[in-house]
Amino acid sequence: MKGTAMETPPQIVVTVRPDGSVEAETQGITGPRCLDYIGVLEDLIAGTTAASAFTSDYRSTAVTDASPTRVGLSDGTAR
Amino acid sequence: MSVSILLIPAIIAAAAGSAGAGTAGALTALAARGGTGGAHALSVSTRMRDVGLLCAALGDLGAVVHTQDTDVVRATIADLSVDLGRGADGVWSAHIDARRTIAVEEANSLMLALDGAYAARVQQAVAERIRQNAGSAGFDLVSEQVDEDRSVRMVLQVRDGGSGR
Repeated sequence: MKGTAMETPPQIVVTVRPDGSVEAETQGITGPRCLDYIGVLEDLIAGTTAASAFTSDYRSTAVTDASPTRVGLSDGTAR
Repeated sequence: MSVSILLIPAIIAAAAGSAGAGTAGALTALAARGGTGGAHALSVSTRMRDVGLLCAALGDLGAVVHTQDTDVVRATIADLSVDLGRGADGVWSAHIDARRTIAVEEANSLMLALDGAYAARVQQAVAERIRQNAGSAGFDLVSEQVDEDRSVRMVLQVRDGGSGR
């Protein structure tokens, strides 16, 4: 999905995989507020975070490409 | 800043080295015994935690569940007897028995099938939980689709004033 940080409505894309694990990515949420959603998502699915990483919105403060960045399990964790 | 998160539902025990996302890695043979031509038994540790989903998964495989208790499930699949017991860690282990020799590969195949059926049940349960609780968590579920790999992709829009916690 292409867009800008200014245009993207705050949303979370949640992918429930066939193996039962869940991948979630915040979009259009800049600043440290996005970290608040980790706990919200844990409550929502009744699960725990196995890994997390910042995406391309990490330093987004103006018009940027907000395309999501896929992460591996061993990428730098935010928590 | 935005963040990408990998979450493991509590109803799945994380498999060592795979963060719960793998199936084969979750299956660990604990013990095997058998004679030549006699009964053969195999015990396998699974990543399953929820007894309801476990029994549903057994049903999906055509098993007949004879006993369903808090910590014990007994079922038969064809000529195989499957006894499942919940360990202190909350994870179910399976003990497979038959009046014939069971190849380890056959037992592993059965447990992989059960693991897959359980995972499918977990996926359904998690997706349903999100549908049911998104509103109270401050989200609107604005779209949902099933991808080619059978993943369920759901877009949750943050309601005005939503700030996570």
